[in-house]
Amino acid sequence: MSNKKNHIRNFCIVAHIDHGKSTLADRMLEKTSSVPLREMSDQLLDNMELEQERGITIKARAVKLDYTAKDGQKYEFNLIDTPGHVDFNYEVSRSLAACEGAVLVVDGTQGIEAQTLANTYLALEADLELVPVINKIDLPSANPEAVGEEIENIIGIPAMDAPRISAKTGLNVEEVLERIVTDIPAPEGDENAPLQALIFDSYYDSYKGVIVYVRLKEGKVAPGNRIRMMSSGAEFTVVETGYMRATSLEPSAGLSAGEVGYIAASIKNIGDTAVGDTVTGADNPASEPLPGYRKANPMVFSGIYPADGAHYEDLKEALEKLKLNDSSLSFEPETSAALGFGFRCGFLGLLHMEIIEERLEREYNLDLITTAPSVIYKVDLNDGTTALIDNPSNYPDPARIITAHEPFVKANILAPSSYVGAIMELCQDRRGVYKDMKYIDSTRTEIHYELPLNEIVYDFFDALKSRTKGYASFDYELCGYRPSKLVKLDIMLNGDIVDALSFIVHTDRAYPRARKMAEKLKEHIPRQLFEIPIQAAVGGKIIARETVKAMRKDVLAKCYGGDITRKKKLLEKQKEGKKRMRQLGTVEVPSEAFMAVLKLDE
Amino acid sequence: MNNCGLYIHIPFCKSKCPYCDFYSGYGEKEEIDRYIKAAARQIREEKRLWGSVFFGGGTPSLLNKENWEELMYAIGETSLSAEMTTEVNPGDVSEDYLKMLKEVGINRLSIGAQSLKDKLLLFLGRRHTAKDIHLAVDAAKKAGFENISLDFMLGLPNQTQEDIKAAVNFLKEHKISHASAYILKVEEGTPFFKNGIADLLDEDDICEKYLLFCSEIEKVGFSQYEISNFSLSGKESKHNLKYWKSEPYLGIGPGAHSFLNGKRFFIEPNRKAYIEKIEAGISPFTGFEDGGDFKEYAMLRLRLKEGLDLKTAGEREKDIRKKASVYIKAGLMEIEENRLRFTRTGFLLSNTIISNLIF
Repeated sequence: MSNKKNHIRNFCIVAHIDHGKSTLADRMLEKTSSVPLREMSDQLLDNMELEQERGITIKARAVKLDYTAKDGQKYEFNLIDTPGHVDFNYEVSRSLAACEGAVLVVDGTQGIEAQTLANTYLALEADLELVPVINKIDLPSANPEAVGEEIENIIGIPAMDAPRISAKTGLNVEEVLERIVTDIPAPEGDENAPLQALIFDSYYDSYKGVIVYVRLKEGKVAPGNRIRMMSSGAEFTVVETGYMRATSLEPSAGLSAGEVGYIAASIKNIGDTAVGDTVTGADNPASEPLPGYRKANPMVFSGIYPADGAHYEDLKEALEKLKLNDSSLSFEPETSAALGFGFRCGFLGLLHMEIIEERLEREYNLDLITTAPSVIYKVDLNDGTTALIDNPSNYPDPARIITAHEPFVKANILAPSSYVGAIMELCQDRRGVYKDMKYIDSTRTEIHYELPLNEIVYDFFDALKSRTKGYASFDYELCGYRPSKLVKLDIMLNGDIVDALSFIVHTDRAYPRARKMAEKLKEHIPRQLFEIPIQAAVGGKIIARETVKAMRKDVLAKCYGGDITRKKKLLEKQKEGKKRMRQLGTVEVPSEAFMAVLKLDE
Repeated sequence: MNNCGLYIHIPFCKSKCPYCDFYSGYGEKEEIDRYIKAAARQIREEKRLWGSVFFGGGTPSLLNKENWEELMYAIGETSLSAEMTTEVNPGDVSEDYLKMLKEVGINRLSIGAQSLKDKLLLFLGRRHTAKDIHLAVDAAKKAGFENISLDFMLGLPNQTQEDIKAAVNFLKEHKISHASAYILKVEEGTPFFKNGIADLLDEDDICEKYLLFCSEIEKVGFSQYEISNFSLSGKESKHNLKYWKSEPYLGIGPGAHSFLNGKRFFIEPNRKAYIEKIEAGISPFTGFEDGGDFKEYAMLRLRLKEGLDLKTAGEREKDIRKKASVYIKAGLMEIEENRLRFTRTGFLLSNTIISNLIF
């Protein structure tokens, strides 16, 4: 059996977005004949609709491949696909914990980008063996020589003999497979030791219950064994074990140390399994759980409400299911006078927030209203306590506040040097503090800024992309709290404060933000039977005002020659449209308005 | 049952007006003849005693004497008081033609005037002039028609207050007893829609014109009895009232709609398919749906000035009263005993309000 372990390679692929990670995974599946050609589709592992559409990987995913190497021996590859975006670092880090090595893909035309660095650092932290690969060499603009040099200079690993490949055409992909065999170490671990299996993913199957994806570090497990979740203590009898194949699950007689596979144990309660937890044997338990992986803390918070209040329970259930395979999502119930019952949700970043919302809407068929994203503010009060505020509605009365603090991030931006001016202007505009700047080569620059997180949670990345024609890449990490002059801005419709539209803003930015909010709302609130004043106020003082004029005409003059059904359908549709509206006092506000006010950089 | 209305659609036009989304198009004489035979056959096979008949289009005034005789023969006996209306294009009708209509049994004319201003008629793509309207009305009087209605359109770009006053004055001078005034609606798929005419329209201006028409026409003795319909006392269109009072009517011809025995249904808007079906003895009716529930009843009743008797709302009465109170306070509705009805400004917002109240 130890011989078998020597023929296992557990690895992941890390890369900046669009550098070809998922395409390389596709080629690996092909070259190892893991998928019949007729079932092959692009970005096979990104099987979430949203992933295919956006061309990104959101969820980590694992697949077992059989590879016969040039040495004539058969190897078992476990490829764990990982997301590239900064928001999903936690997905990356838990995948890394299941691997011994990582294939680092760098676009031969773009070179190193912000996420290349972020992911490389994560892989190095996890002690992984890196196999650099230079991709897209089929493109005329590729410069593998220079990119290789960049990898050596910036990351500090040898790269001059890195495979130069085209994942698109399949060129030199075998070379990558060979490197995995030669460069990445086989897993260690003793199959006779007590079971220690790291859960790195899980999902709910309506027939088999919760299925956990595990990497066995020590010991073995087989159907019939009693297992225990080390953090919750819950025990189950294993019903099935097996491997993740590209298009289906393949049951096995058992799993042993070094292997990657799944366990099904009729686990009904989602709460009993947590990604990052260790599975051990109930009869011969390990004394210690495995170290988990870097736990991600939510940085951005937003209220999520069902557009139709009747769907509160559905939303709750959907969030619970999503939480099962996205442990970084946090949520707790909250109520809003304007929006009714909903949840305060915590996300790792804006992309994460968008993805969760879209998954809720698509996979669970929910219509949602979300409130402006907020960060956590620390507020020192005059009674000597400090309040943590993640919801603008809870912002204390200014008279009680001694000092308010807001979170700052260290932002790392890589871009062609010609955009440095535009980037600095943007960062300056967002209250950024310039730190330093490095020239990577003659054409590219790395810029460091410290920025208030609340300035980037709205639309910073969009603004950055539009100012740099999409060439800039961006990464950030939290760097602490700083005192700040903050105020709470309230929006009033027809004289009533709409709690869901309140937000916290720096004093200097309050006036322009208020004016834009009022304008946006005017654009998105349709004319109604009565005139609607829109006002923005700070501490009771109105600082911006717009008016939605009353609607005067909505009538069908002619009844379509007796076609009553058409008229009826029209009114029914109108009624249906109202369901997408929120009744705030006498004012109806379309769901989109709540999102539109977040996009102020136009 | 002899209160059933009969609508006969004549889906032919010499030219298509760019705002119109009714089913019609150019047709050669042979096709028209063949169509009339089919329609006549369908009417005969219904074997009913009709309570009112309405020829609409399209352009019924394109039909010749033989066509009319064939249709009227198929309709057969009706009670003497039955209202027999046809729409006519002012550009088509001579005194002789109108006399012929009178002879075959038509007793009410609906003249598609639309406007008394040539510039606006041109904009609307009408093939007649303001003069033609004068001539048509004179000819109709001479032919012995007493029940005449004129159709007007409101809310046209560049339509002035004077245009509206002139239209009302025309009604008075020529002793016309009925008028319909439709606010221009740019329907999807029409040339007006494609040409972006909707962008030329101003909501406030349209409302002003509508309200002006309503108040002017009252000054000359008309009453408004429906959102877009006005008449001297007792001269309301009996046929059209059936639509709004949820009474039965049968629509013959492609694109025509029916409400009979609690079902709503229609005929596919396709002339060729219609003719072939009738000739093959196949029923052309399709799209059967239940009709006549309270929502529909209330929606239609509220189009009428007399409004909705809240006693018909049953258990929904309380809810409707409560919701309506906001609109009453705002001057958009009135309530008198059990009758809930729109004011004029309320009519202009009737879609939103009906959908809020009833749906």
